[in-house]
Amino acid sequence: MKKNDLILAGVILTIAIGALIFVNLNKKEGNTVIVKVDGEVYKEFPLDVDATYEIKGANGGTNLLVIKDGYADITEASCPDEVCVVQPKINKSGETIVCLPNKVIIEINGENQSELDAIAN
Amino acid sequence: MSKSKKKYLPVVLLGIACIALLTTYIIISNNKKEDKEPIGEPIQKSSFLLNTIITITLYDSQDEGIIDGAMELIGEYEKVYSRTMETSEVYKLNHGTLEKAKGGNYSYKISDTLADILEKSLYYGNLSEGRFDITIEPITAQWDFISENAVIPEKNDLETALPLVDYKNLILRDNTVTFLKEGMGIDLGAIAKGYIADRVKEYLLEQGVKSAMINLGGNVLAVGKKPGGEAFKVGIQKPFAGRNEIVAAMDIDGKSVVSSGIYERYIKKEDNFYHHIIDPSTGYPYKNDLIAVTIISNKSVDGDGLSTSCFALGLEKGMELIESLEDTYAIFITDDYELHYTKGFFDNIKVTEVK
Repeated sequence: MKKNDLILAGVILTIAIGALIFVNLNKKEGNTVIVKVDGEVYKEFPLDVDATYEIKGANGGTNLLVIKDGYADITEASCPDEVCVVQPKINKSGETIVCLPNKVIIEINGENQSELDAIAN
Repeated sequence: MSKSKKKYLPVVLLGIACIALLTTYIIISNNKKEDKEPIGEPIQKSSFLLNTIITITLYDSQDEGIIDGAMELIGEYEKVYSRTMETSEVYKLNHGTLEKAKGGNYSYKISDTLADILEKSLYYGNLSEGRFDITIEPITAQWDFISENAVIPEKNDLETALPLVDYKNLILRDNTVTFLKEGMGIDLGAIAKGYIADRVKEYLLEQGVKSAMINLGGNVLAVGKKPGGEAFKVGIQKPFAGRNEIVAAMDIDGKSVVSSGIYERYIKKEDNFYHHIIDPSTGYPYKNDLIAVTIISNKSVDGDGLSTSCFALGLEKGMELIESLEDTYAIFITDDYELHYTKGFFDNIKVTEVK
């Protein structure tokens, strides 16, 4: 019986830990990719579903948004400087990729907020 | 069977109790978080102005109209200070199409808005012994760091323009500007964002906002602290890395954080590297062992003026300048990626380096 008690305790513990892990994992997966053009929300995508989308930015410019393996990235753009293409892919809440010429902002939004309120550059 | 079930019962009950407790704990701790910020989530808006991205976040108000008002205000200042907008006051001044004033051949009437920032600009001209110089326009107009075919000016063209650069040849008297030489012009790019950030802060305070973050393309100015009483966390961007990577994070309470660095705008051509902080005495980018300077000050205009000045002065003289000023601190990043802090930094600002 003592052995069975232990087994049961183990099972309960496993369920509890499992539940905790599940809740935490779900939090991360709940992140959303928000695309803004000229300050207005243009489109939203879940970060955990792979997708490719051509964003029509300001002045007829375009940026190619690629969501893959839980990361959002700009891989192609019509803008002259391509600063947005050079910027690394993002996956944490609060992180952004910005394309100034096309007035496009890619932003991750989710439960796990970035600790920073601003970055000086 | 029934006997063993009975024996299991206390354990099962205990298990259920444990889970219930855990759930309650999670719910309670979540509620506590909400109690801390009874006025709700912060609101944030971004806009493209001043050739950069502007983000304003309010932590103690849900009134989006206040942010819209701030954006409008920034737009109004841009219409005065822009070097490239053909309708701006600065453009007209640089092209001699502003209303003439009595005085010299090149005397013009200017608005209070322009006169005020010019006064500040001349102050930083003196403080930096001419290394911060708003009359650099004849030089900066030749450089183009942004467009597809970035332009590196001809040496001859730069040399022709150099004699036109000297802030001492700009005379400001009340609302009159006089250029002592034909062809002079002004570029407020190294000071306008800081100056405008201060005006936005004044506006927000007038609107009753006590907790906000103003970010004008990386020129950061905090209004107060977070509603819970915590300081804001402001990161310093890692040079030449992604916009979201930082070298250090600081606790900031109502202060301004402004950086100047060679990684912001530059042209790489063959083996040459040209960044956007131009030496008014040569017409070419400054060459020293600095990558970036970050200034923490009360007024953002000071941070903006000082970051350029300090970059130009170099590590040693730049540190000296900051240490001679009250309530002003700086981090210098040298090309070995070493961080240098001014005297008293750690006593006044909590900072964590990110490796």
